[in-house]
Amino acid sequence: MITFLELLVNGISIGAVYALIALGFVVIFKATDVVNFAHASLLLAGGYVVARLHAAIGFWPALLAGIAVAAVLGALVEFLVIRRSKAATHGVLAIVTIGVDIVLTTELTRRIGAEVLAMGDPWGSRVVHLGPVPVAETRLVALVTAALLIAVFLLAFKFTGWGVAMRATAEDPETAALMGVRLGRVSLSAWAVAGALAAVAALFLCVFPTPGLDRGASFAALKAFPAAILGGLDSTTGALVGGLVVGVTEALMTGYQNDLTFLGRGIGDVAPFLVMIAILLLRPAGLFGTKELARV
Amino acid sequence: MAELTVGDLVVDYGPVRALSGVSMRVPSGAVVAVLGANGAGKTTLLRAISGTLRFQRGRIARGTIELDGARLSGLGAAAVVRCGVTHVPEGRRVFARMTVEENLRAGGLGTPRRAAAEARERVRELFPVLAERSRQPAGLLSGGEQQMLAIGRALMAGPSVLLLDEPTLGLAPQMAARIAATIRAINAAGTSVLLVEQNVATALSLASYAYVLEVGGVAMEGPAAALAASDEVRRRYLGVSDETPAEVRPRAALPRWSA
Repeated sequence: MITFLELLVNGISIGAVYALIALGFVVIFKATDVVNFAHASLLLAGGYVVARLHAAIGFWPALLAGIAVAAVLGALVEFLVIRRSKAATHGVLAIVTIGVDIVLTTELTRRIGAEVLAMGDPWGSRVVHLGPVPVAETRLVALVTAALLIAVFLLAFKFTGWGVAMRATAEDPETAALMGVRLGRVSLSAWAVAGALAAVAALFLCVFPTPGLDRGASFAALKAFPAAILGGLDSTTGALVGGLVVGVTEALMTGYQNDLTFLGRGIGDVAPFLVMIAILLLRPAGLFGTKELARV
Repeated sequence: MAELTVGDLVVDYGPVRALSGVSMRVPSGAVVAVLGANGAGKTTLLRAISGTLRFQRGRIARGTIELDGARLSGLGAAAVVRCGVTHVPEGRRVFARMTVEENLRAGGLGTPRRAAAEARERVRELFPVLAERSRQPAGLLSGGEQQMLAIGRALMAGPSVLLLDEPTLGLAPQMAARIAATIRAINAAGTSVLLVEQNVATALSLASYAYVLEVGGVAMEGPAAALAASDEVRRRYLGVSDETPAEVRPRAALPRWSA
């Protein structure tokens, strides 16, 4: 039972981190209709900056720098690549982002090499006990931080002018432009926000119990894709639920791996994708994907 | 107060020419109607003015669009709104998944907060029904209410010129009459209106001057009253025929109903 609770808490925590990544993914899709396959490389870039800078300027400034770099990088991708290819269809743009991802990831893995870079975070490997359940401090911090960021984001999305502009654009870009919404800015801000969220996620993917940032870190980010898709690609709520589903599934499957040997080793890595496929078979638009709402 | 002028406007969608040299004038404070059959280029004209041609892969090949002498052609849609020209698109296009209140807020996004708050008051007075439904998703409003919302949303930007594309299309006659009355009220408050309408009778009763578009060019123009009286307009658009109708034979009453 204690094992189960421990796995559950860890799953929720990592799920919240996946939700951060998936949220960025969904925001970009809503604002620009582009599926951003370069998301993992933005995440890797943010994490890389934190890992390289923390020794020189301290952890917190390094974290801010990492967030800023990922946000600017996201904005640059939008400005230099997506905006210039307005004529292309969204499918083509999605493939263009795969190209961007390969370029960025190759350069970053070249720089990282075979190293495993510590993130220099203040939590280290401390473990706290919630009643009888031992939980790594990093996992708790991840959970709280992700929950806070998500709350702030959702409130902004619901109540600020930026949020209204974003939702109007998601629903009907042409009409949003007729309202005086500057579509370029909406798209640029979506990419920047997604980059910033990804950088925070990168931090928590690479701290204890993970040894640190290595060149495989962007693979972990790939698990946010099933999270975004099973939740419904255009739903922020879906991104959150999807993130948690993927996180908990992965944690439980990995934790009980020894009882599941008939499925082979490494079922934890595969499970999120199996869940995604199962959900899409039942609900093709994802759990919270758009249902048509219209009356004539 | 502002005067909108269109000079020798030519618009292409790829290889297809949609407008070939249209000139018109919307004087300050006037209601000007644009009539014409489907495909004559009425919507294209409004899109060219509001800067949304690019969404349809269209482009202005030649000509000018000016507001009080300041060039509008070439500006993006958001910039045109800031100049004081707003466009209520055909089919209303409300943001169905957002609430009525959020739709109105979206309309004021390009405007300073103060001005938007004042416009909000005006819209509340003009359309009390929208205030009652402010928290409902716009997609659940009736067609007429959606049209009111679309117009109210456009007024949030405090426009000096309002472009209306088929505002009464698909509405019940009573609702169409209410929309027409609203357009009069908006104009009386000082906003010029460029009105595209298929319902020629409604359009000519609202407008002081009208243009008739045919295959991308102005086929006829004149004061609304003169056009309404013109035989050609009556015959082609109002469905009034000068010929004596073919002999109408009184039909024998159906026995079942005659009792």
